[in-house]
Amino acid sequence: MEPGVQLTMTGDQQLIQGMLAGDERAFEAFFNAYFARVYRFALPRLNGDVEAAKDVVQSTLAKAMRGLAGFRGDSGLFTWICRICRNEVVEHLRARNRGGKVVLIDDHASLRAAVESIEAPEEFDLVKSHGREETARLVRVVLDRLPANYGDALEWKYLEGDTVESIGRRLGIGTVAAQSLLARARIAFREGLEAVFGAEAADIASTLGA
Amino acid sequence: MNDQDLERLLKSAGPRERPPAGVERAVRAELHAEWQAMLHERRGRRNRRGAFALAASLAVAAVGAWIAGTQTAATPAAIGTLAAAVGDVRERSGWLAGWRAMENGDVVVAGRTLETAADGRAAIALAGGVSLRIDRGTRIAFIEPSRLRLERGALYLDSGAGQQQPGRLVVETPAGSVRHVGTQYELRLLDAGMQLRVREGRVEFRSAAGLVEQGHGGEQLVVFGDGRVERGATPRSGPSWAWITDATPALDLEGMNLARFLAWAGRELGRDVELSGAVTEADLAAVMVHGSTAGLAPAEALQAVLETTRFQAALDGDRILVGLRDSI
Repeated sequence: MEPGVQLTMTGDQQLIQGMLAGDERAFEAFFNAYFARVYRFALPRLNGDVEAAKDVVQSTLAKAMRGLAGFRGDSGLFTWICRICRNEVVEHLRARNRGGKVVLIDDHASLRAAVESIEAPEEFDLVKSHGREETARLVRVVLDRLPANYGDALEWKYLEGDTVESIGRRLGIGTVAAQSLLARARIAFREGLEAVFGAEAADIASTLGA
Repeated sequence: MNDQDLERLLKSAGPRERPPAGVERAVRAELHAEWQAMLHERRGRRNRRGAFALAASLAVAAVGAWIAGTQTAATPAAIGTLAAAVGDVRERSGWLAGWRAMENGDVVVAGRTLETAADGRAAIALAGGVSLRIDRGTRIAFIEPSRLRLERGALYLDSGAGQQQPGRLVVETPAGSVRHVGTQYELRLLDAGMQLRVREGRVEFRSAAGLVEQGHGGEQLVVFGDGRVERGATPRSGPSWAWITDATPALDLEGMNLARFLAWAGRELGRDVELSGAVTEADLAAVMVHGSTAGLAPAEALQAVLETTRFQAALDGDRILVGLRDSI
């Protein structure tokens, strides 16, 4: 098992134990780790309806919380939560009698498997077959799918220009730990991009016109 | 993948979208409450399991203990009654429970969440003569008899005529909480925060940061997500209040005199009742009315009831003018 995943599983288990024990810090960590990511997962599947996304995210996280005691860790916690969210979206659309389920490219069975496992490279060339906007969105999806706070750490460093010290402070860890986390985040991101796009960061960036 | 490639890619893909702050606050509050409820239930189950283990060793005594343990689950407190429902009005007991359609006369209990659909409006009769109206597309969590949380949409609260003491009922919103001091007010969640319109009396608003603001009759407060408060004027009657009368509960008129009926109509319509010409309060009190306002909006009920008497009424600005027939 690759180091980042190992760390995440340990983190997930600690988070779950803390949540079940009533530790407020665990609740904060759970909320901060998953709320925004689940929201971004739900929103495009609900046609951008913010109010619907709020309801779906709320019920998804509530159900996830209730199911934490039985979570066995066969998949990552976020992958498991996304499965709950997918069902909640379907339920929501059914309850509101709204047809026209939104199907995203990342709902495509083979791509979904790649996004969820971030393991097996895809056969088709996603960068070439999809537009710039969709490609950019998928890059952000990969960031969201990274374990733990990897996506946040990468954005803080490369988009906001944060220093490693600052990232350490934001995550409540030391500078050395932040440096190590960033290294693992880069590896996980690279592997995620290759699994989803079958291409490297430089090639995808070129396609995006950077 | 070097640092430059990574930076180039992330910049060209752009930052991930942040959920709106109001949504984040609301979901955090709701989820925290759900988490606390979950912990409470888990502790309860553990306690019951403990009682059951005791039963294994002390059979006779423990049977009683176990029964007692299972009986301690508190019955949810009744908060009020659904007095009127228009369109789809439903409730559920928690995030894991399904929605149940509600009907007139259903009891509203603590711990439930009530929701009106895009075509739904409702009125709830609360303890102490407080009337709550719920607009379309609204969700309200009834936390306990004196506390509810507006999660979406708008509500209107009428504490009843003559009520001058601070009310017990506190309405929570993501922006802060509201307590009435003998009043009629409307509370509406906005994308940017919250709008509080005071029709009559006084309302106390306490922000999440602990700042207290008061709103008086005819005043409007808009509270933004960053805590900023903007004050303005609001009319006491007119189209912006019309939605309230969509869900006005039917009034049983039997045994009621005309003065009381007019006072009711005045409160529903946000207008003061003024007597015209030689008409006195005693004249109105001497007239007994009959029937019910079922199926009639307050303005329609006003005309229908007055037609059976020697009086007539006219809506004039913030007043209901009442005079002898053909005199106004």
